[in-house]
This record gives sequence, C-alpha cells and structure tokens, in this order.
Amino acid sequence: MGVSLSKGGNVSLSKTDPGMKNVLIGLGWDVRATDGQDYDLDASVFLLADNGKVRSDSDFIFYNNLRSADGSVEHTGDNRTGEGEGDDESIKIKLDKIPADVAKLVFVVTIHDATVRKQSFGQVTGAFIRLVNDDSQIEVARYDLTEDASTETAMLFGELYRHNGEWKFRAVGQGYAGGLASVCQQYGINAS
Amino acid sequence: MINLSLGANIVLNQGVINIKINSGLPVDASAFRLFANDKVKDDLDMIFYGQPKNQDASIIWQQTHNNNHEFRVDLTKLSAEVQKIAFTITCDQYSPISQLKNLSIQLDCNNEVIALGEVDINNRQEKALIMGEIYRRNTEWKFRFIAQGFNGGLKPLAEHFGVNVIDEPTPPVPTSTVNNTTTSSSVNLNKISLSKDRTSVSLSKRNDYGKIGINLNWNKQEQPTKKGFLSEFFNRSPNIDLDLAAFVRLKDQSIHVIQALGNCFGSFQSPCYVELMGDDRTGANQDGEWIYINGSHWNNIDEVLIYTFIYEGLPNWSQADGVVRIHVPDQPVIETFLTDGNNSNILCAIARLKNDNGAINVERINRYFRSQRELDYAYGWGFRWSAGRK
Repeated sequence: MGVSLSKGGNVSLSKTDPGMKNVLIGLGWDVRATDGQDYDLDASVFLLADNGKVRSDSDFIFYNNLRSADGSVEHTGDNRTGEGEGDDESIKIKLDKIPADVAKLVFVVTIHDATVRKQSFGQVTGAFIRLVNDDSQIEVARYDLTEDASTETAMLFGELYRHNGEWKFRAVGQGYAGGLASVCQQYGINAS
Repeated sequence: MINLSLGANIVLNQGVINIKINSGLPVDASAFRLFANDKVKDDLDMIFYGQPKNQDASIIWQQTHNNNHEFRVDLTKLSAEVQKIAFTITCDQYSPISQLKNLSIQLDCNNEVIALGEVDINNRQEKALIMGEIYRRNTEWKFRFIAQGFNGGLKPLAEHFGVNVIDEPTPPVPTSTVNNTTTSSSVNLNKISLSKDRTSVSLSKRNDYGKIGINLNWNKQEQPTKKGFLSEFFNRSPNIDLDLAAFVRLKDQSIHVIQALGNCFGSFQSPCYVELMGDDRTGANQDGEWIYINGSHWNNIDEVLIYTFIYEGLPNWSQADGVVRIHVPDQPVIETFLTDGNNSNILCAIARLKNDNGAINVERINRYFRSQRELDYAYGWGFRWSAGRK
C-alpha cells in the first residue's frame, strides 16, 4: 500500500516500514503505441554529501554508470522504449551500505532528448516512478508522471536523507527545464 | 482559457462540454467511446458523420461551418463503464496532417472557451491523429491534449481502439459485427448498406463530387438467350422491366423528372445535371440501368429523389431481387436492396440525396407507392402527372 504523496510531503521509512534495508526505485512506462520517436525515460540517482554536491562523478548513477563504487546503489540497466511489464528501469539501494559521508540520495527521472523530440511526460502513457521496500515489495511512494508531471521533461521525484539515525523519504515532484544536464550541473557534475 | 501544451491535462468541472476540432481544410472527425483497456465495445462507440449520435445521446457529432467539427459530450449521461472518449481526425487518404492549414482542438462550456490545444503540424506525417481524450481520473473527468497518431491513417487508428478493420482505409463505417467477449469488433470499410436501422449517411463536404452514379440492377428472368430480330416488335414479354428514375429539384426551385417513361432522360452537362443512361428493358444488361448526377454542379442541386418502378411484368419485388447502388467518387458505395416491397405497389422510393450546406446527405427511404403521383404527393414535390407509355 503506497502512501499518497503531496509535493514536499515526508515519509519516514522507519515508521511506515520499519526495518527497511533495501529500497527499489522503479520507473515504468508504456511503449509508444502511436507513430513517432520512442519515449526513452531514464531514472538516475545522485549521491550527495552534506554540501549538496556529489563527492565525485561516480556518485551519479545513470545509464552510463550503472553502479556506485561502493556497490550500495545499482541501476539494472537502460530501457529505451518502455518495453516490458511493471518497472522498466529500476535502481536498487542497500541502505546500510551507503557510506557515512553520503547525506542524501536524490532520484531524478528524465526524458532522453526531450527537447529535440518535443516530448514531455504527459505524452507518455502510463509513466510512473515509485519507491518500494525491496524486501517486502511494499510500495512506499508513487508518482504518476503522465498525470501529474504532464508538461515536464525532467523531474526530481524525491530524496532519501538521514535524519536522527534513520532514513526518511521526501517526495519532491519538482520539474526541471534543461533535462539531465541541468540537474547534473546543480549537483556539481559537468555533463556533456 | 488555458492553452494546453502537448500531453497537458485539465480537470473538467462541467457536465456538458463542446469539443471543437478546427482544421481549415476538410478532415473526418470521429469520437471513440472506450471501455476497459481503452477499447471500443461495438460500432455504437464510434460517433462521426455516418453515426452522429450514440444511443444514450451522451456524444453528439455535428459539422459546423468551415470544415469544422463539433462533439457535444454530456458527461452525466455516460455510463459508469465508459473510461474514455478519444477525439480523432483522419485526413484525406493521401495527405498527411502537415498539408492542413492548421489543426486544433478546443473545449467550450456554456459558450466559453475553457481550453485550447494547437497542433504544430509542420513535418507531421500522420494521416490520422488522436487529438485528445476525455478520461476518468479517480472521481473526476479530465481532458488530455494528445496530438499523436498514425502515418497509416484510419486503419491503424481504428485498430488502436480495438476495431478490427478488414479492408483498405476509407471513412469508418458502422457495419461491424460485434464481439463483446474479446472487445474487438470488425468493421467492413468497403461499403455502406442502408438498412432499416440505418437510414441516413452524410458524405463530408467538398466542392466537387465528380460523377455520382446510381445503378439499378435486378435479376434477369429465365428466357432464351438468342432473340430473333423480330422480338423487338413483339415486346410484350412477361419479364419484369424495372425502371430507375429520379425527381430533381435545383437550387432555383425548378423541378424535373428523370425517367425513361416520357423520354425524360435529362442531361449531365446542363441543367438539371442528372441523366438517365438508356433503358434496360429486360434486366439482361449485366450492368443494369444508370443515372448519373453531375457532382461538379452539386451546388446547383437542392435534392435528388431516386426511385424505381416496375414498368412491366408482375409486381413481384422479391422475384426481381433488385439492388440500387449509389456511387460517389472516393466514397463507400451505398446500397439498398429492393426485396421487401409490398407487391400491390409498383414504385419504390429508394433514397434522397439532399444538399446540406454543400454536403451530400443521403437518406434512405425505401417506401413503396402505387404511382409517381402518390410519391410526388408524399414528398411534396408538386408535379402535374398524366399517364404515359414509352
């Protein structure tokens, strides 16, 4: 049972799902049924230090860097069309393996080449991103991208952050202009 | 008013919404009423010029001026099973939407524009487009601006909504066989049959309808295939002779009878722009009888009423097994079978083609009369009749 999230709403993972150790971020969407270029959605994670920046480029986990150096975060691979049932891309996080100097994990969903292809989430059928307890498969939070981020091309889904010794999840639901590159810049990565 | 970007959605707070599709050039517009899995259940779920209204009147189509279409949707009348209504357009078979002047979908409520979605048609190759959809979201109705479609036109569009299309793309035609269990229905796009439960078809507006052909054919009777040259002088055969005929009213209100009886064959090139081609006395001519309407002059024509009558032979309609087919260029053939007539009546009014603001509205009549005079009287034409023999 997922928690209904308003923008900025906080969910304490230890309260909603005490003892959660493994988190899965699932991104799903339907293959385009109409003619035109495919919708290629990407899920990414930034591991941020206290200063709100990455420690190094390897803290940016995405389709070209599927695994964090310490193995705490793993992306299961790029899906370029949405083919398949359920989650089409997923990122697995082992909470207790996250290094102590990582204060926060930020989850971002973007549409690849959205500007060139003139695409936004609202054009994609059945697009969602969700956070799941990967041990119990209980869905903790879900965001309907098609419906609630319809005019966006990039969105900060939410963040996991440390608070008094436990991990909390904050739903953000904030759109970005400029795609993944502008998100990278914000967190201290020069992307090209 | 909200300008909708692609994919954007809005909540609909009103019960009755008017959806307007503007294209600048002629397009066909259809609404698909969709159930579970975003599929239609049967052919009642398609609302378009050939079926301007569904059974609960929740969706009503009308063509407004300047090639525009309008759908009036009463959300309060939609059954609980209905999940979505998709509004679509299809272009002329051979041109993609980039050839249109513009393309937009507008939502009005109480004569006020509440939202507008304008399609950037540059370089777009689709010949059929889903303009937008009204859909359920939790307890609300919402509208989404979609503007996505299919390069292949109507066929892939119809299939997308669960309509199994058999033939090549022509305008959607509600003659499908229904299969509710698989939620797929089958539509024959080739031919419109006007039957008792479907009495009117409007062909979308254009300037030149070309040569409109009306054909009457009937079963030739058993007879020797070789006829002596003298037979023409003894034309008292017991065979049925069916005649094809028409009443024509021009825009100048002049009325004309086109029929072999009285040698009123008319003229294709000059008023009244309707001509009967010869007279098949026996049904032996494989091609039957033809009346042609000069569709290039459709703007001069107000109405053409097509009828057929048994000139000679027993009035036995089922034995004659007649069929009248109306051929409008680039349009499905419209056909009427003359098999259910009352044998005491020798004349059958087939259909009327009415000029409806430049469009051809074909209305099936299929009523039987005892004489031209009676037909004339029934439809208020005002001819003066005297007995004749050809």
